[in-house]
Amino acid sequence: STVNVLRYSALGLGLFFGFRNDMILKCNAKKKEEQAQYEEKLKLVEEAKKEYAKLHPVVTPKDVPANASFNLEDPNIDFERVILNAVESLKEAST
Amino acid sequence: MLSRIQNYTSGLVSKANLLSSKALYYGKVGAEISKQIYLKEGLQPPTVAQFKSVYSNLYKQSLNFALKPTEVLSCLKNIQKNELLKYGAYGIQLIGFYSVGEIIGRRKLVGYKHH
Repeated sequence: STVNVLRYSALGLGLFFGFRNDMILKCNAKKKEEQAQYEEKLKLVEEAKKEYAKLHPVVTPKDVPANASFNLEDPNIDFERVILNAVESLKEAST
Repeated sequence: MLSRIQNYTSGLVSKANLLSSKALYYGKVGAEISKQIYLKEGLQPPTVAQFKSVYSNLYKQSLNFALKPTEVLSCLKNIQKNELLKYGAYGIQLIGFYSVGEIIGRRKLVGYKHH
């Protein structure tokens, strides 16, 4: 009869949707867990980076005043700064 | 002392016997009632042909109603209280069957496993 067919259809539908929703939730939980693991790893890397920076502080080149005299024999000479300073001074001289 | 223990155990045994016989009785009653319901309601699973015929009939009816909206209105006006109750009961049955199916599908009685 019609009602019986409808009843069994409802049963089948419920079975299908229950299974599907279960699968979807499982998938989402798996993805979330993977994301959490990845983020934990990222956090560890960040912490390691911070610790490394603390242990090996980067020697920042001090702001050498422009037109300062430079020593070419200096092993720690900052050539970039020297050249930029030279260019700056040339520009100033031309204007 | 011994007699007291004997009394206690015999009482326990008789109680257990009573309980088990009651459980057996009500289990049989429940089984019989469900059998009666199964037979009277015609709950045996329908065949594929029945599925096909019912759905084609429903499709035809809905097509007919969609083509003639006035008929739907007259039908709704003519509906009786008893019929309304009957269809409501059917709706509740359908909801129940859907819920049972969902329970089987998600393999858990209440709620879902993974959140």
